[in-house]
Order: sequence, then structure tokens, then C-alpha cells
Amino acid sequence: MADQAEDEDKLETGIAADLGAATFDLARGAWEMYSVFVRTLYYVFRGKREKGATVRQMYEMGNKSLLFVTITMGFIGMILVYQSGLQTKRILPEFSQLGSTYLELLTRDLASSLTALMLATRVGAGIAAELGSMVVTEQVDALRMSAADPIDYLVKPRFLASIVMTACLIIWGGFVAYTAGGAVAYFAYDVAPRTFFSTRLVDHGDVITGLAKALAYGAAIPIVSSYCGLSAHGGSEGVGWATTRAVVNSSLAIILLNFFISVAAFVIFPK
Amino acid sequence: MISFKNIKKSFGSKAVLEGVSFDVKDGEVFFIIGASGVGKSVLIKHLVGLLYPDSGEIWLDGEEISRFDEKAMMPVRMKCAMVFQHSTLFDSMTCAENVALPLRKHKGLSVKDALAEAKKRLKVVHMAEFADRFPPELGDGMRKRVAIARALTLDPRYVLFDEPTTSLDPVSARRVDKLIRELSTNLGVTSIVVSHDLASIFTIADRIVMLYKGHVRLLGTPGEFKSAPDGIIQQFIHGRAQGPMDA
Amino acid sequence: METAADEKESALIGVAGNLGRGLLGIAEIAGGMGVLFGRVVIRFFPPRIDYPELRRNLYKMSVKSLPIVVVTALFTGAIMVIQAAPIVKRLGAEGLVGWAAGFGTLREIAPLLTALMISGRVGANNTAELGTMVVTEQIDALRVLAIDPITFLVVPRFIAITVTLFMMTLYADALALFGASYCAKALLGVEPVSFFHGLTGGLLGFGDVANGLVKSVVFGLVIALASCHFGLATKGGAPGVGRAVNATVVASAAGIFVLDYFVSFILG
Repeated sequence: MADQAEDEDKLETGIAADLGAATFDLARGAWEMYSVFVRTLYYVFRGKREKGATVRQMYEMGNKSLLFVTITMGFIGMILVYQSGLQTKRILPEFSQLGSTYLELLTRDLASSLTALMLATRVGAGIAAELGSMVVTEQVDALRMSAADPIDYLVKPRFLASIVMTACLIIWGGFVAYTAGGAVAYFAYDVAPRTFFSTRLVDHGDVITGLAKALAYGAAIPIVSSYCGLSAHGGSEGVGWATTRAVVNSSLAIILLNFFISVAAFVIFPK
Repeated sequence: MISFKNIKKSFGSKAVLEGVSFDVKDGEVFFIIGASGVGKSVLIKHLVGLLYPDSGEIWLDGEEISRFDEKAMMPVRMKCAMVFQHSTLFDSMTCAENVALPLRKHKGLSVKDALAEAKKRLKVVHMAEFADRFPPELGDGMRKRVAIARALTLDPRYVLFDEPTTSLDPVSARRVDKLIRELSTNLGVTSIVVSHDLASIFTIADRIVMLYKGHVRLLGTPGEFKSAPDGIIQQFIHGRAQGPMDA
Repeated sequence: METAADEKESALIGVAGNLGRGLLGIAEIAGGMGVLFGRVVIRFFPPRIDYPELRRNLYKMSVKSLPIVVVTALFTGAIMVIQAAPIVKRLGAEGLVGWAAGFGTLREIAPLLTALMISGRVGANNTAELGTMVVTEQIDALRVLAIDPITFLVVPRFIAITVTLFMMTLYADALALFGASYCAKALLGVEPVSFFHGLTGGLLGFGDVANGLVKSVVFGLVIALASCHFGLATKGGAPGVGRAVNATVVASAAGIFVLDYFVSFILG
């Protein structure tokens, strides 16, 4: 009897402790990632030049993610327009604004955020897996002993490559989503391409917001994933955990950055 | 009784076993020795259906098991347990839960009863105080003992040990040797031990088979090995760097 | 002698070869997952489920996902209102903010984003666990103990992931709407009362919620299938586990979006 009551108590503190620990980990990680970011920036300006490292990373990220981004953004575009069309039908069956509103949303938010979420999985996992394996097989220690800072040598090229390639892939992803959406609008709701493909509602505020997000996401993904990869420990298990954390934390970072930039844009560029 | 008849096994173009034959008698402590990579672990994995031979026959208690599928292998695995080289406990469960698992699954015990029985069996290998710890928290020697306890839960007739003392300190290694010997003496278990630990080999083995280049080099008692005129055997059992063995 | 035409031809063959190889790779993965799915389903008739493992996984996965889902849902709800705000203002339809946020959330955003986050938190984790077990021979150890790895490991995780995603989507629905209403008040001055009136005022129905929940179950199956498949197929030590996790996350994301479209279409 007493045992059962004791067990129940243990269970409750167990859940509270687990949840608390999980949330605390989130907060602590954020601070440590910020310091990685600062150090990376330092090396961007003061670090050693290594030929071809950044270009190699750009190839890794760009070419390998292209098919993935195309497929996912294509389907997202179709879904978004399809669902919006369904709801618009319910209210006022008038589709003249559908395309222009869609482009406005894409530019301001969806192209960058959704593509970035996809890249957080593809690129984030890749970086963490690579760096994690290097840590666990002691290659990173070997690097340190030859007086090379892992941040300079490993993180910096990925950082620079990501900023460039994320922006490119976002533009491509937006284009794919836009075109796919247009196709759905035509086949499902008979919206003429000329009506759909109009830039009427897109203003400079939208473009600036979208670009700001692209930059922020491009910076966040490699920093977060590199941090997670470099803090791996414990053999193959550790690599698995590191990769998992990279994906989750990159995605979270994107959502949080999205929130803050969106709020800022709402205030700075009122419509 | 266990019989290997002319077992051949290759991985891709690499031929590992090229016609291995020998018998293992009931109740004995039987050692399979040889250089690293010669195919010792590969050979014993055939006994529990983790590998299948390219040709040859394997007889266990009057059944030819080399062509058994997963389902047919189940009863064989209940008779023949294996202790893996790296202990291979389930990291997500405590030691007691590890030992309780086969009891729960095959003896139909409830979770509570299985845990109680598991703790009893852990006592036999002197690991009762660590029943509620997780494997990653324990040292190699301790994990090995828990792994042996788990292997014994279904009261098997045969136990296979894959390099049981390789990563252990000398004291833990001798303790494991003692356990293996007691299994044979007290419970009549047939133990097949893959090893290159010379101290183990010459302390507890009843008979030994040495594999070299995919074939049986010699099959006999420790005494027969010590007095064998074969230069390769002498080099191995005395642990010499120089000798007729290929580098 | 290689002419320009020859070079062009070999380049084209190169591209075709790569594409072909890519498609074959996808087909191989799809095939492997199909086989695994079949094996899992068979173990329901008659039901062979390890209840202690199921309980353990359910607890672990729910606890691990809850903080992430809470944060994601709250902020996503807010973001949706921020993005919808200019459009709503333009149409002068402040009363419809509740509806706008609601339909998007319940039907699409909550199930999708929750699935993506869970794919990362739970799916990747699951692959890492199974992959490590493969690499450290724990799967072999199970087989030698005459315990079927699919029944013991895969089926409980399958059920746990699907159920977890379903529950988390419910939470996410509620939390996102809460975040959205808060933001609507802060940025648009829309009172919570009118926000929730927009939600329930007849333009949205239980069908929208159900729509999202059906999706969550489908997504759960995708994540479970992908993570178990890649976990069990891990080869190659520590880097192999990293690669497997990578593959799971990518395959889950692709699968989620493709199926999202088809489910939307079918239920539409």
C-alpha cells in the first residue's frame, strides 16, 4: 500500500522533472549557440582562408537539396492554393485576388519560412551528422591539436555557404510553389493565368521582409546544427542524438526568428 | 551434441571458412581459437541462425539446422544461448529488466514476477546490487556478468561465448572463466567459447579447435596442443610475434 | 574521335543516369518501407503487442514532444495572425480574423507543423535508437533470445508515434488558436470574444478539426514507417547512424507534404 503511494509520488515528480529538464535544455542551448554565432562571425572576418572549402559546401547544400526542395515546395504550393480556394468559395466565390494575395504571402513569409524548414531537416541533419561523426571519431580533437579552431575550419565555410545557398533555394522554392499554385488555381478553380500571376499586391516591404528572413534562416541553420554536431558525445548513439537535436532546434529557431521578424515587419511596414 | 560438417562461408569474394568440420561433446567446455579475423565468431553465429553457410551441414541435437528459417530457429535459440562480445545489453532497460525480458516473453511471467526472478538470477552472478542500474553506467566486466545471467534465463543446454574475456581486466577475466567452468560442472551446460585469451584457454578448456586460413589446424586437448610439433600452433599458443604464421 | 555531339550525348546520358539512379533509390526505399509496413500490419491479426514497451515509448515520446509542440504552436498561431492581418484589414473583415486563423490552423498548419516538429523530435530520435541498436548488435541479441524484433521494437513504436502525433496535434490546435487570439488582440485590437465567435460562427465546423486529425494520423504513420525503416537498415557504425537519421528526416518531410496534398484532395 505504502509502496504504491510512494510509486505514484515518484511518477509525478518524474513527469514534472522530465518536462522541466526538457524546457531548461532548450534555454541553455540557446545561449551556447549565440556564442558559436559570435565566434563564427569573428572568423568570417579574421579567419584563415581555405581555398574551395566554402564552394564545396555550397555544392553539398545546393545541389543535394534541389530535388527535395522542388518536390516539397511544389506540393506545398498546390496545397496552399487548393485549401485557400476551398475556403474562399465558402465566403465569396471570387478568385480575382487569389493569385496576388498568394504571391504577397509567399514573398513576405511562406517561401522563406517553408523552404527554410525543409532545409533545416535536409541540411541541418547533414551538418550535424557529419560534424558529430567527426567528434565521435576524435577527428575534431586531432584538428584542435594541429592548432586549427574547429569553428574556423568547419563551421565558417558551412555558414557562408548556407547564407548564399539558402537564399538561392528560397527563391527557387518560392518560384516552384508559385507556379504549382497557379496550376492548381487553373485546373481546380478555372482562374486564368493572367489573373493569377499578378504582382499587384507585393510592395517593397514584403520583399525586404522576405529577404531578411532568408538571411536570418540561412545564418541560423548552420550555426544551430554545427553546435549540435560539435557537442556530440558517446559513439554512434551520440551522433544520432546530435542529428536529432539539430533538426529540432533549427526548426524551432526558424519559427522563433519568423515570429520576431514578422512582428517587426508588421510595425515597420504597415499596410 | 553439435556437429559441423564441411562448413564453407564467403563474404563476397572473401572466403572465410573453407571446409570446417568438428564435433562438440555434451557437457564440455570447448574452445575455438585462432588469429583475429579467421572466422571464429562467424562460425558460432551459424549455430543461432545469425548467419547461414554457403555449403555444409550443422547438426544440433539430431537436427540439421543450416537451412532453418527464423521461425524454425526459435526452438533452437531457446536451447542455445549466446553471450556477445560487447555484452550487448539493451541500453534502454535496467539490468533487472534485461534479465527479466526473456522470462517475460518465454516463460509467461508477469512483469513483477519476472523482475523478482531476474533479481534472483543476478544474485548468482554477484550483480544483485546493480539490478536497477542501466548498462551504460556499469563497467565491462559487470555488463558481461549481467549478459551471462540473461543468457541463462531460458536454462539453455548450450551457451556460446564470443570472446568473453577480451576487453576485461585480468581479475574480471578469471571470474568469468570460473563462471563458465561452473556452468559445465554444476549444470551440465555445453559451453563453446571463442577466444584468443591464452590464460582462459589453458585454464578451463576441455578440448580446443584451432582455425587457420579457413581450415581446422588441430583438434584436441590442451595437453595435445602444448606438445604439438606444428610450428604455427606453437607460435600461437606462446604468443610470439615471429614465426611461420602469415603476418 | 569525340565530337561535340558525342560529348553532349554522354552528358545527357550522365544526367539520365543520375536521375535514373535517384528514382531507383526512391523506389528501393519505398519498397523497403512497404515490406516493413506489411510485417507490422500482420502482427495486429491476432494482436501481438508488447504492452510494457508500448507504455514506455508512449510516455517517453509524449514527454519529449510536449515542450516543442507548445512553443511551436503558440508562435505559429501568432505568426498566422500577423500574416493574415494586412489581408484582413484590406478586406475590412476584422470579424473574420477568427475564421481566417482557424481554418488555416485546423486544416493545415497545426497538423503540418506538428508533424514536422515531431518528425524531428521523435522520428529522428527513434531512428537514432534503432540504428544504434543495429550497430551495437542489440537486434541480433534479441533474435538470439528468440524474440522477434519487429513485434518487440517496431510495432510498439509504430503505435506510440501515431498516437503521440494525434494527441500533439490536438494540443497544437488549441494552443495555436490561443496564440493567435492573443496576437489578434495585441496587433489588430480584435477582442478574444469576437475572435472565437469568428471561429465558431458557422463557417468552420467539426469537419475542419476532423480533417486535420485524419491528416495527423496519416502523418504519424509516415513518420513511424520512415523512422523504423531507416533505423533498422542502418549500416556503418557511428556515421551510419547519422546518415540514417538524415534520411529519416528528409523522407518524412517529403512524405508528409506529398500525402498532405492527396489527403486534402480526397477529403476536400
